[in-house]
Order: sequence, then structure tokens, then C-alpha cells
Amino acid sequence: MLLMATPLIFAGIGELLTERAGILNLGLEGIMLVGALAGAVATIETGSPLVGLLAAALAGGTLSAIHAFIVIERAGRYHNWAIILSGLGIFYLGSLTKVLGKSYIQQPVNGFPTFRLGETGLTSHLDTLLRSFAEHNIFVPLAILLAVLLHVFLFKTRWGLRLRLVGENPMAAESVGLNVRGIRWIATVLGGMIVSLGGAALTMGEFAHWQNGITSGKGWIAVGLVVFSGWRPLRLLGGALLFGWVLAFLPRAQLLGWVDSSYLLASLPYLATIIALIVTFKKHAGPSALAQPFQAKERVR
Amino acid sequence: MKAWKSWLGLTVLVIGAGSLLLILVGVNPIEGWIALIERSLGNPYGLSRVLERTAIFTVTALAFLLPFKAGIWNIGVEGQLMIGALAAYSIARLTSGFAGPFVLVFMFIAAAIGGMLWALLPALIRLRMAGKEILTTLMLNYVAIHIVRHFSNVIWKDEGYAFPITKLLPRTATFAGLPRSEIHTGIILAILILVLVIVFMRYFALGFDLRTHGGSLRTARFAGVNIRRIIMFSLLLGGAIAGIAGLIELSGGTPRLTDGIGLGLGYMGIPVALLANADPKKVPIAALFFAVLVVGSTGLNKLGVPAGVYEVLLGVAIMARLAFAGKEATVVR
Repeated sequence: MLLMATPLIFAGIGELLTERAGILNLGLEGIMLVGALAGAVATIETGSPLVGLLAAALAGGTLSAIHAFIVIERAGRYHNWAIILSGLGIFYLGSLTKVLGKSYIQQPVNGFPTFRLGETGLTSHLDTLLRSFAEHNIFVPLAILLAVLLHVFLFKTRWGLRLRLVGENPMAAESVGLNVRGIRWIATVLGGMIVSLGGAALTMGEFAHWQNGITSGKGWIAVGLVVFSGWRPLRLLGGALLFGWVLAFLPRAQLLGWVDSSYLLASLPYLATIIALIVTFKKHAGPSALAQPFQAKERVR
Repeated sequence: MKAWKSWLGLTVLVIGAGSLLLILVGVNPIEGWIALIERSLGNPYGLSRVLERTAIFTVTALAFLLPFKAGIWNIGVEGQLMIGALAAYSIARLTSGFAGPFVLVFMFIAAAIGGMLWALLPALIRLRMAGKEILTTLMLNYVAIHIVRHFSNVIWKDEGYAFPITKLLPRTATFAGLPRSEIHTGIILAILILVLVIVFMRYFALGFDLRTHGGSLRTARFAGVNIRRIIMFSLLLGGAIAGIAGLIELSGGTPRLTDGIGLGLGYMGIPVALLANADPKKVPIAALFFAVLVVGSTGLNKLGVPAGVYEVLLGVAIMARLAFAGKEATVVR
């Protein structure tokens, strides 16, 4: 469960940071893939997992910078549709990994070793339960730490307040002298870097090799997870553990004969997101200026 | 900027990015492009495939475009298409015994209703919350994928095989086609839908209301447009068109339900609509552009280029379009 939830936490935390500044990025799946491949390749080529992490963050940051450039600098008053199409474009660009990563498929990556539980001798239920909490790698505490840090940053620091203001009301933010575009740039690129670490957690941790489409939809789940969390990092942590548990439980449930097909169970995270949307619809949910245009110069005219 | 200029610029950029990619994977770009054109436009079978893909991309683009014109995001074409295909396949299985030659009619109705039903929940939520249809339609795509997998790999699985595969539908449930080509009568259906959408948007009062709503909510309110009706109507119609795309994909190709049926087609409609400047009349041209890329890229695979090139070029095309034409913002709703 911890291993399954970790990529979701990274991707969700990165996206949450970006969305809090008012920028929606639907290209998470592409960014995760690029981060996963970059991390794997750099680790294989240099032998240093730290370089791998750096490469993953750099690759994800570059891809999100394209998104930031289009949405913040180029889209103008067509912001709200450009933001969605650009996200889709980022998703398609993630297929670069299919083209460039072919020779690295299945090559072992000496990243960060995963602690695996040996034979426990327990009943299969208890064994699964114990395993889901005990098996971990360095990415697990890193992800949890990031979530806590983002919570502290957003709600306890002055700059967190400023970031939230940019996402809630960019006009007001500008009138108190904040650089709205600059903050949105930083939030988008930094968010993308964190998202790509979620990909690296797969190739450099959990699976320790690269495979086409290794993220298998986790980027899309993370998009939903941010909504599910109500844009709060600690709730996102809880949500990721819940979704991670569902993902980890799927193969097990079928094996135990509880369900004859795991396909319907696999759609639970997506359904949960929709239900969360319906339940919270009356409350103030999400940054008000999310995916809304901001063009200071145009407004003045 | 003149339309042809931006088209030329886009083509040059896509060719440039594609050449760079080919060099990176160690293939001579000129050889690569020749292989791509040869495979897609250089032989009768390739041409027929391009035509058939153009038709399906046109339909999925229209399923996105109709709600888009009303200011509503239908990211769920993918899921609506799959549910449409599932509904069509299921009804054909259940009625092919007695429906005879009319089974295609039943399938058509089932596909349209299936797609519509898959757009119903996002439409209902959209009535209460503007903008949330982006996430609801997106999430429902993945629910649809898993439902189709459940049907193709468990419920309708053919018992005679070890691996999951479903029974072929009878000939009456397929579109008649020309031999040794991919051309089938479903393409006529696609053209019909295109014409109907163009006529509807231009000449019908409801089509005008739809465009008013997409253009400006305030104008629409002042003009007395029934906004609730516009939301329900445009999203449900988009869903129905997507469902029919599912029927075309099912009955126009190998008529069996697979767990990957229509995968990626729904998303493809979005950049097609974007490249067509959200103008239904230009949709087939943009669809043709992508069809050549998609069909031709199989020629690249023969040269040892891994799959996925066309998706990257699609991404490049979207980004270039947004980066270099964003401010002029040619999309007029």
C-alpha cells in the first residue's frame, strides 16, 4: 500500500501546488512518464541514483515549463481552453518515452532498494496487511515529508498565503504588489518537478526498471486525487493511501476469489473522485481562479 | 495571420520536430518521411485506411466540438465512445437471432443512447457547477475503460479460448465494405453526421443559442437563452455522437469487443477540433492531417522506429498551435 501510494502522493502534491496558484495541469501522466524514464536512464548511465533523481526533476520541470510558457505567456484571454489543450499536449509528449526509451526497457535500475518482507508464516490476510505497511523504500518517507512540508508552507507561511491569493484572486494579488506571473511560473515548474519524482519512484524504487506506460494511469488518478482532497495536502495524503490501498488490494481480491473480476474495483478511485465532487459542490471547493485567465495589461485597457 | 500560413507553419514545425526525433533514434529523416507518405498515401490500401481514419477522427472531433461551442468541455468522448461500442455489441449479441438485417438499426440506437447516458451525469453536475464537467467527464473515461474490460474479458468472453477474446458479430451487424480496403458504409454515416452538425449550427435557432452561450454567458442570459436546456442538449448530443463513433469503430472494423476498442480515439478528437479552429467545416481537413500521421507512422515502425512517434508529433502540433497562434486566438466559438 505504501509503495502503491507513493507515486500518487508525489504526483498529487505537485499538482496541488500548481493548482493552488491557479494553474491546472492535466498532463501529469506525461510528466510522470518522462520523469520515470529520465530517472532510470540517468541512474543506469551514471550509476548514481542522486543524479537520477536530479534528471527526473529536470525532465519533469522542462515539460511543465512548456505548459507554463503557453498558459501564462501565450494564451492571453483564451487561457481557460489553452490550459486544457496544453495539458493534453503534455500528455501526448509523454509518448517521447516510448520512442526514446526502447533500448532501456527491462534494464535493471540500481536506484534506491526497496525493503521487502521475507517469509512471515502468517495467514494470507495478515501477511498482506503486514506487507502493505512494512514494505517501503526511500521514496515513501520523502513523499510523506513533502506532503507535510506543503501543508506547512501553504497554511503557515507568508509565501504560502501569497501563493493561495494568486490562485484565489490574481487581481487582488497584483494590487498588493505580488508578481502573479512569476509565482505561477514557479508553482507550475516546481509542481512538475515533484510530479516527475512520482514517476522516478516507480522506475528507481518500486519496479527498479523501465517499461512503456509504467505509470498505468496513475497520473490521471492523481488529477482526481487533488479534487478528492479538496486541495489540502494532508487530506491528499490520506486519499493517496486509500487509493493506493485499493490498487494494492485489486490483484489480491481476485486471487482470494472475493470478486470474479478486478476491473470494476479498479474504477473505484475515479468514481470516488466524482462522488467527492458531488458531495462538496456547495462548499467552497478549490482555488477560485483555477484555470481562469489573468492578463494584467489587458484588464487595464 | 492567414489560415494557410498558420497551416504551413504548423506543418513545417511538425516535420522539423519529427525529423529531429528520427535522427535521435538513428533513422535518416528523409527515408522516414518517404516511408510515412508511402505507407499512408502511396498505395490504395493505405489511402483507404487514411480515409477511414479521417472519418472516425471527424466524428470524435464533432462529439467534442458541439459542447465546446456551447462553452462546455466534453473530455469524455473517449468513455462515451467505448460505452457506445459496448452497447452496440451487446444489443447485437442479444438480438442477432431475430433482428436479421435490422440489427444495425438496433445497434445504432443502442450506441447513441449508450454514449448519451455516459454524458448524462456530467451534464447533471454541470447544471449545478460550471467547469466541473472537465473532471467528471475525464474520470468517467477510466470507469468506462474498466467496464468495457469487464465485459470483453469476463462477461462476453468466448469460452473456447484460453485468452480473453469475444465472439465475432454476424455479417448483418457489420458495415458493408469494399474488398481489400478499409472503406465501409460507416463512412457515409460519418459524413452524414458532419453535414447535420454544420446545418444545425448554422441554420437552427437552437444551434444559434448554443453558440451564444459559448460566446458569452451574459449575452446568452440577456438574449433569454434557456441555459439549462443548452447544457443538457449539447452534452447529451455530444455523447450520442461519440457513441455512434463507437458503433463505426465496432462495425467498421473487426466486429468484436476488445478491451482496447477505441482507445485514444476520443482524446484524438480534441486536437483535431483545435486544429480545425473549432469550425465543423474544417474538421475533416484537420482529421485528414492526423489520419496521414497515424496511418503513416506504421511505415516508420518498419524502419525500426518505436511506436509512439505520431503521439509525440500530435503533442508538438498542439503545443505549436497554442504557442504561436494563442494571442490571435483563432478559435471563435
